Amino acid sequence: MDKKARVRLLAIAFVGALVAQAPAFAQQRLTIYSAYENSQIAPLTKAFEAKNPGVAVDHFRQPGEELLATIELELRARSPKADVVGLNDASIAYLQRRHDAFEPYAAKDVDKARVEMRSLQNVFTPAFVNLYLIHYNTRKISEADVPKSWAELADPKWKNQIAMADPSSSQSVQSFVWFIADHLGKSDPAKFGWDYFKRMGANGVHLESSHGTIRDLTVSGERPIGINLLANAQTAKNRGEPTSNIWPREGVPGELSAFGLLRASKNKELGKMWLDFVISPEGQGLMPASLGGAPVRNDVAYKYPDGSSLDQVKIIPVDSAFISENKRTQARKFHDAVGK
Amino acid sequence: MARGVTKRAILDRPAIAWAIAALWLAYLVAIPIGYMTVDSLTDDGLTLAAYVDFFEDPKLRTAMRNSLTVAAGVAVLSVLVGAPLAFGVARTQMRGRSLVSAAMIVCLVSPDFLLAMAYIALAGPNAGYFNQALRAVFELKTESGPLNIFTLWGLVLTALPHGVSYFFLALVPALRNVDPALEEASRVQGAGPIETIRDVTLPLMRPALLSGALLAFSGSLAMYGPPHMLRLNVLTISIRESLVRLDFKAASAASMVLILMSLAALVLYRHSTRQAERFRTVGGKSFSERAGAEGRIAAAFTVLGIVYVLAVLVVPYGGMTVISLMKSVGMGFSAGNWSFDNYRAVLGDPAVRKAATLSVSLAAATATLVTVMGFVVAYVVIRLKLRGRWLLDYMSIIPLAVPGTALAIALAVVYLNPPLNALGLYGGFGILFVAYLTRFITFGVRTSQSSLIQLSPEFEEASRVGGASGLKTVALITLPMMRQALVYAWLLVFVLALPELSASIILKGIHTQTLSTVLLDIWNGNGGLAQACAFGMTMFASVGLLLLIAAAIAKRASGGLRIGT
Repeated sequence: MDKKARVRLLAIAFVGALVAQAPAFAQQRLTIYSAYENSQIAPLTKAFEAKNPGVAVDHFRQPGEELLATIELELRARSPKADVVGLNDASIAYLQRRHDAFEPYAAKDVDKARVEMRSLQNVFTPAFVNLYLIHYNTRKISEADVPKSWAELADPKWKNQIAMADPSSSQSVQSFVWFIADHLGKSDPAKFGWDYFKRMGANGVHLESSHGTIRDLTVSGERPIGINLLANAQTAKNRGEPTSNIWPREGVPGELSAFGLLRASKNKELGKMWLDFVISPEGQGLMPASLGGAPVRNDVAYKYPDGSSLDQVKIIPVDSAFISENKRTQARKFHDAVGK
Repeated sequence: MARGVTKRAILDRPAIAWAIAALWLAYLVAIPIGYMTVDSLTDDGLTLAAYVDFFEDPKLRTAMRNSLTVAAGVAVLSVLVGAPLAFGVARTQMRGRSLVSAAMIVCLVSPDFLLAMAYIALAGPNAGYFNQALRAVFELKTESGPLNIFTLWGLVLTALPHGVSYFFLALVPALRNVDPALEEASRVQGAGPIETIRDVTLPLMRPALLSGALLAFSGSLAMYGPPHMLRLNVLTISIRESLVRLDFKAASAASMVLILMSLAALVLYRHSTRQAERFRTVGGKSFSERAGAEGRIAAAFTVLGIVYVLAVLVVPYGGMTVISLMKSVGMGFSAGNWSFDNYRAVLGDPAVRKAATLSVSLAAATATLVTVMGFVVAYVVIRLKLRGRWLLDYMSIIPLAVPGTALAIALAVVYLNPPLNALGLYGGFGILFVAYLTRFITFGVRTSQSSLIQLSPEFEEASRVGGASGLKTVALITLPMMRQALVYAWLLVFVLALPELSASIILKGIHTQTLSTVLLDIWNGNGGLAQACAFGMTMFASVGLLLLIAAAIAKRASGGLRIGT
């Protein structure tokens, strides 16, 4: 290769590097930020795209707390890039309180959602109910042996066997922290409260950044017990992994996962179409197979991944307002207790 | 521009070259680091509150202690492992010298987080395959261990191959370039081999030894991926957590502490190697073709080389390949659990293809600008006798002491606040490009500097005496003689920039996901372990292929590129 050719090659590489970054041309693109895995949200986005030819969905995923930081930084830089955000209702309330980030929208059929799931000001559109459960590897732990309650997880028998999410990265685990430290902490302070997390820390609980990673650790057997979300138990079941779940006898915290339309969105009509789709019978019917949660409409049939029906599980609705206002303090108390 | 001043005259003015170099370094280094320093020291007036908070926080103190422990451990072990390997390759007739040298390059090129993934699969205390094998072979009555990768020692082990590569690649050329007459003279005077190594070889090796150890130390301080995957509390992780909490003061203070730790090592290195003239090999004479030790000594080094290659390449990447072919990691080695589905999922993912385009573009653009500007800065520092060139020299080396995470915080602070937020770089390609240029500028400058130091100025002086202008001398004498070094700098920066993670993880945006951030996302549950392994192996193979292509081009361009062999 002669000198001229080399110089040309370098110039082409350099210019190409810059040009290649131009966003792909598309007439109608909806950008969704969420804490949900690509493979989980894909059935939903594909169905939406099939229903709306000419519309394409770009999905950007991060663990909840990290996603909140991304959105806040974009808002601060005055360059929010998302149209719709998918998080739990506590995180959406947090963003709304701090940045007035969402534009209220009453999705079609939102009145079909259970009353307790609806947003009073229509700041968000409810999507599915996510519950905490004990997820375990059936090749490592037999059904007879598996812990049946949250309290049993603190038993030294399970030392170095359990993984849970770290509130530094995960938004949803705030629901579990509230449930153990505040809800059960009041009713049974001997077993629960912040001391429960001290015992879990002493028991070598492994903190992970996302519930998806915890699911993978449970599946591989590295941490055969995971304090996980229904969505991940459902995903593992959908993939045919050797896992099952337990509904602990103390009950399970249930949080609402939802989508909100960003006020700064440049594609508001598309965003509203997405919100309409999420709450539609078609969208709700896809929830177990996609995002893995329980539908928020009563007129959509549903069974949990282990075959249980809705009325067989004792669900404790989380105090989203408390979590939204106290999550930094709660995270600090959690880390102090766990010692990590 | 003054009327009548020709282009050649302008380019001949050393002051202009100095100004270009100074502006370049000021924009990339001084502004972000200076801005962050000020930010960490102010809050409605001058205050040390952010630092007081840092040192009062037990979690951050632990993170600092852990970072230092791991970096020191990696640096020391890199010397202990890298020195015999370098000696074996450079000074003995051990078998597999090319294999060991290639392994070093591959380890340097392959992202450290890939190795972390592999070691977690192998040495995870409960389900790691190596642990399961050890428990079975030694009939251990335990369901856990004996190895546990989720510890500081696990982190040291994971970071070690990178450190060893830095050390090895710094030491081998130095060992080869020592004039054998110096060692022979020592032997003739009656000194034994140990005394000769101690009194002659090691002092001559000091710059290379310190350079390699420093790179291993600062590289370990800066790493993000492995501690993230192993869930260990080190400063880079704390910095990111502070950013996630949007606590910029805490992030800035932690970043400054991390930078100061790295700078301390850098100052120590500069102090020990300040007399660069002592290490010049006049005329570029090479002593690489000396006869090396044979027999048992060579055999011992051969065994060491094979064990090393097995431990850092064959076993971990072999393990990852096996996992990448599993349909379900939970079903293990059962029949019917094998397919290429994970590769199909990864290669068919538009997000992965987009990230690959971005990463290659970023790496190529970064390597090109870093090499060009690295030469300019190095030329000003080494050849132009101007005031303040020491400042440029220090500014160019500072990024080596700035971990990617800390740099990213500095850039975030700069480009999220007036006046530079007006550029709109945050969240786009631009801020990543600036971060990459800053991260790797040292490699461009140092490579050119090393080459210029070893290139005797008499060649250029002869050209000037013969009537050639400064620019013509650079174009016709200096650059051709430095061609190999410049190609090496481009390749080095390209392969290091391609898997960059620590800055990208903080500065990425929705349209600017890089290969590494996508892989980390897949690891973090967005696909799972088997898909992450498939992606990792694809990345590993692609980077290896790119390296081979680049080396072949370099060989044709420069008549042969020698790295370690």
